[in-house]
Order: sequence, then C-alpha cells, then structure tokens
Amino acid sequence: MNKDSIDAYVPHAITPCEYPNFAGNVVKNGGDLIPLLIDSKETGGTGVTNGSVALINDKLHVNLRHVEYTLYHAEKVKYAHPWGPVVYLHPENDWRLITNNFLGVINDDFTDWEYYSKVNMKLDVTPIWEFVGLEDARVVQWDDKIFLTGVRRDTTKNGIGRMELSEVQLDENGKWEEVSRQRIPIPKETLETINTGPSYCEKNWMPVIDQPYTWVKWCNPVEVVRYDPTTKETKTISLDESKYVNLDFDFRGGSQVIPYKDDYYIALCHVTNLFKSESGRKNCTYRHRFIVFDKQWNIVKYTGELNFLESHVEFSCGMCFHKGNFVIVFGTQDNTSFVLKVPQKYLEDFIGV
Amino acid sequence: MENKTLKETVIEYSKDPRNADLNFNMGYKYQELNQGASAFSHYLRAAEEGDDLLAYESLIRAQYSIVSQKDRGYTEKYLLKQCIVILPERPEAYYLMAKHYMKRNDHADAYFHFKMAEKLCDFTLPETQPLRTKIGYKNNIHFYIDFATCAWKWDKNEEARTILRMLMKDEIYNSADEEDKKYIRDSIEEVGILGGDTSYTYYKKDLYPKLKYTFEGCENIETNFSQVYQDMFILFMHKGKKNGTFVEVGCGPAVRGSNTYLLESKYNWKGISIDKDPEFAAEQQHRRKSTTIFDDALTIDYESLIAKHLPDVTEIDYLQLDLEPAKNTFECLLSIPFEKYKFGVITYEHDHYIDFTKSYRSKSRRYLTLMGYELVVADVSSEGSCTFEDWWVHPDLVDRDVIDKIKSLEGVVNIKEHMIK
Repeated sequence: MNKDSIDAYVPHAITPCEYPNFAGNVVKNGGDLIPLLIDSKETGGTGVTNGSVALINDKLHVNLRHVEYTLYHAEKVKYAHPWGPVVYLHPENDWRLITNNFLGVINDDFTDWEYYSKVNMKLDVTPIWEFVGLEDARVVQWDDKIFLTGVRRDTTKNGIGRMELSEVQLDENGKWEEVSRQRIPIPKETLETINTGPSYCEKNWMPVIDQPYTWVKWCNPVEVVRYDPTTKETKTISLDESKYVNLDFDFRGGSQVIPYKDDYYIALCHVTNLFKSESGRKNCTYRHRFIVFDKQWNIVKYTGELNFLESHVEFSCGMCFHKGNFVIVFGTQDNTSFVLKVPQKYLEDFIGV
Repeated sequence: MENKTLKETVIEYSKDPRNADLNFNMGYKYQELNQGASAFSHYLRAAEEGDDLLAYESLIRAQYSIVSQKDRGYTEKYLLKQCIVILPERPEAYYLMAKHYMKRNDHADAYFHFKMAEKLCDFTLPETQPLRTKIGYKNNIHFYIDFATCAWKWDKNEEARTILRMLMKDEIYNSADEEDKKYIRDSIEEVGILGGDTSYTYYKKDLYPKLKYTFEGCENIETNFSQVYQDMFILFMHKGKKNGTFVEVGCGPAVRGSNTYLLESKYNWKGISIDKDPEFAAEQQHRRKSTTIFDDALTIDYESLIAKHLPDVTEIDYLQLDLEPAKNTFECLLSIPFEKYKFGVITYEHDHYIDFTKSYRSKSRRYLTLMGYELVVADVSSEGSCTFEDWWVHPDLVDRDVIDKIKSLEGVVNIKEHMIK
C-alpha cells in the first residue's frame, strides 16, 4: 500500500467482496498456502509484504519487500489508532518509510532458500524524500538478465515517483547486488494524451514476461509501453481509449503479465477503494482481480474482486506458472507474506477460461 | 497454546480468516518467531472480532509486538489504554502501563497507574478469569512489589513500606514464589521496614492521664525514647526502680530510639551497651555514661564482659537483645550465660515479620521458657501487624501483680493501644 495514494480519497463505503477467502478455497481444492518470512534479525520484525515471484531458469525466484514499519489497520475501526484506522507505525523519531528488498531462490515447497539476501542497492544515492528505496519490485528476466522493476520516489525533493529497472546479480559471495539502474521515462504519447503534464507518480507497471522492456502500464483502458535501453525512451505500443471497462474501481497494476496458453496473457490486478469515515478519517481496501488479455491487448476476461485471506489490505507483485500450479506471492496488511499455489484447473475454472 | 508449526497454523487459519481465535493463534505463532508486524495484524483482528476478554489479551500482546520494534512508545501506550477501557476492572493493563513508565523513569505516571489499579481493580480476576497466555503480569504479589518500588522512587516512602509490610504477612509471603520472596526480602533490606520517625511511637507527658501502667516517677517523664515503649515497660515491671542495671546488645542510637537512655538519665541505671556500628558506638561514648563496647555481639564472651563491668552482680534488671537478622539475635541469645545471671526483664527482637525462616520466634520462646523466663507481652508491633519483639520477665525478679496486669499473649500487639488508654 502506498501512502501518497491516500491523497485520492473519495467517500465510499466498503463494498462487498465477491470472493473474500480465495486462498482458503484454493487450499480446500488441492492448493497450498505457505508463510514466507525474513529473519527478524534482519528486519527488526517490521512488515514483509508485496512479494513477487518469477520462474527463471526453471528456478523460483522470490523477492519480498521489507518495509521498516508496521501497518496499523483497524479493519472494523473498533480499535482505531488515535491517528486513524490506517497508520504507519515507523520509529517516532524517523518518519521515513523505508523499503528493502530481499531476493532469493526458493525450492518447490517454498521451505528452503538459497542465494537469499538483502539486495545490495549499491547504486543508491542519499535519499531526499521520505519514501526510500525501490518499492513493489517485480522480478523479471529479460535478455538473460534478472531485473527488479518497481517505483522509486527518493530522488526528488517532492517525491516524484517513476518506474525503475534495477539489474541484479549474485556477487562473489552469493549475495544479490544491483549492477545497473535505469529510470523509465513516461511515454511522450501518454503525456500528449492526458495533456496535463507529467504525472506525479508512476507505479505498478506490470512487466510482460516474454516481451523485453515492456510493461502493461495501465489496465483500463489497457496501455502497453516499451522502453528502449539504448535511446532511453519509452513508447506506448498499445492504447485504445474506446476499450474502457466500466467498473466502480479501476484495474491497477499487480503481478507480472505472464503468457497463458498460446494466445493470451494472464495477470493479477489490484483494486483500490479509498474512502473516509463519516468523521473524515482515511481508510481503504486493496483487493485483486485476475485479468486475461489476448495478444492484441484486449481484455477478454476478468474475475470479480477477491481477497486472498479476507484482509482489507492485500497486495501482490508476482505470479508465475510452475509445475501445474499458478504460484502467487502476496502480502496482507503490509505486514505478512504468503505464497499461494493454485492448481491450474482450479484457476481456469475460477476465471472461466 | 497448541504446539503447531507456523505452516499448520496458517492452513487452519485459511479456513476462516476472520475467526478471532484463529487470528489470535496466528499472532501468537508469529510472535514466537519475533515477527512483530505479522503478529500485530492478527492480534488486532482478533481484538476486533473477539469478545472483550480476547480483545483485552490480544491488544496487550499486540503491544508487545510493537515494543519489540522499538521507538514506537506512543502506540504501545495507546494499546494499553484501549485495554484499560475494555476491561477497567482487570489489573494487567494498568500494571503494564505502569511498567512502561517505570522503564522511562517516569515514576509519577507509573504511580498513577498502580494507584488506579489498586483503587479500581478486582485482583481476583487474573485467577478466576485467566487469560490464555502469559502477558507479563506474573501475579498480584509482583504487582505490589513493583508498586512499592515505584512508590519508593517517587518519594512515597511510607507507602512503599506499608506495601512491603503487607507483602510480609504470612499468608501473602508464604504464597510467593522464591523469586518474589527474594525480591521482597531484598526490598525490605534495602529500604528498611520501619522507616524513619513515623514508625516510632513515643510517649509524651500529656499522655500521662491515659497511661495504663504507671510506676513511681512516671508522672515526671516528659518523653520516653524507646521505639515502642520498651523503656516504659521496663520501668513498670520494676516499679520505677532507681539504680538498676542493664546489658544492652545491639544498642543502636544513644538517645532517640534507645531503650536505656530514660533508665540511665532519669532513674540512674548503669550498664553495658554493645554495638558493632561505629557511628552508634561513637554516639554512645559521647552522650552516655554507661560502658560502650564496640564489637561484634556474636564474638563476645558475655560472662567475662559482665563480670568485668558489672562486678559482684548476678541479677541484672534488663537485657536487650536486638541484632539483625533474626538468626543472629538467636545465636546471641544462646551465648548469654543464663546459668550465672538472671535478668529481670528481657526485650527480645525476633523480627518475625522479616524472618524468612519463620522459625526464630518459636526457637527463642522455647529457649527462654527453658531458661525460666515468662513471656509477658508477645508479638509487639508499632502498628498492629509487623511483629518484631517479645517481652519477657524472670518471675523471681518481677512481681506477679505487674506481670498479670500487663500480660498480653493473644495476637499482635499494637503497642500504643496496649500502653495508652
């Protein structure tokens, strides 16, 4: 969950969720749910969330976002914090919201890690905004390189967010380190279309697994963009404003976009409901939908809103297909991470494809 | 709590993720693994979905998950405040709040929460409606131990002592575990159970009309000096005798608090005063006429000592035995040459209220009875609860009429009530 998105609050009640316990139903139907932890010696016990997973060279690579806060979310507002029902509990003498990334290769049972470490973001410069680090990083392999792609907001004094692409490698000690970094510009086409100048924050672009340097930037209408590492320009390669799906809450970025069968892509999107209580205090829900695109980037299916584990704030940055299962890594309440193994048949029935 | 793995706990939880009990179990399991943020989310949901008792426990545990992350003190306090609001009659949250403040040396706010709990809480609830897990509230005894410490640090010294005295009552002290017993003992040793002048009970001349036990010359006494009327008792038993003799082991202060200063200064008694404390010994030498011995009372040959300083005497009017701890006083008692000397009056300080063996009072009574002495006033205290002394006489040296008049062997004696109408 990103704090600055709260600026967009509109009054709205919590709407019913069509599938409030997706993970529970998956477990009942042959799937599996596994907790993912980072040793508290490395985190101080603060939140581990918004994970991503990718199958790279037949090995499951998982990135977990460690946030140096604990999210206080009184979902029923019965025991709200004095500062509101949704509060970031960071050290009282340090208001920054700091992100670290922990990357590793994990076994098929999601029980044993190897090559697991905090990513040494050695290209970092001194942050000048309160959101520090690469947030909501998706793992993707393009051109035989492993990347983390997410939003960074610590490079300007007013917190402008742009997607970045950090190439990571194992160093000589088997620890992950960043070896290159590129800040992805907004496509000119987008700027011309919206005609309002550059956006404040670009985030949650979904990398397309089989198309290097390509992201689904937005899902409704679908906008696909491609970055050229040579020219360092980004172009919109698909956008049809007429193909707009009329929903209460737009699709927002979630997992990577992964090829599905021969003619489709499948991804997880998130759905955000930002609202205020009657007394004007900010609250929110973060849910998901599965979405299926054809190769022309038409939305051909999307599911109803789902919660993985009935938490009001859930977020996923990764999904892959592995040995007959769709594997999803997600976080609840910004504090806890899980991996969900969804049998292919179950998910296909659920989506209706 | 069931001994399940985190994975097993998660699978069970996935069946009903808003179930209060399952969320509590998740919180507990993550907390065991020092995963504070994860524990926090689940405890908070358990609180919101559960009944008041579960909410209370969940928020306390949620608070611990924040404590472990450090530097989030405002939220820690707030969570405990919520607990107090939920179940204001339970003591645990007040206690933890007080401890929160004590850690920060804010003894005034800590005291506030201890005191509120004392006034408002039902201290049977931790036993009759126990929580599921240990939440840092050991027991009511520990509550009061920390309360006493807090009160002491906020200069409420007498209140601290009052609490410690309460903890020393047999039924409470005996129910404490060894750790708490030691803590109580150490606290008492550190602060002293009787404190300053407030624990002393002095006779003043204006009380003369109410004085129950009169003796010759008592109408002229402006004030006495003993802690709890011992000097008035001695003079009553000896009917205001002049030129008496005493042996005073563990004499303490020369004047205020002395059992013999009144005897010496107004009734011309003489004797031997023994103390190993150099300050007391120096004060005795400076302000008193009697012989002062600066030595360890347990190493003295009393037969030689008495023979040297009170020659040709076999009957001595008063023996004081007042060492600490109770073991030492009894050991000293065994070294007194009773076969050679008779003592008219003995004040024996058994310190039963801080005798952690609870054995020396009965040992001393058996021994003195065997030596031919009669217990006249048992279990003397300054305030009616902390019994620290017995008063004895030898029936050969004290008249029966005064013995029978003052005798009290039933329960703890509040000395002022016993001596003054």
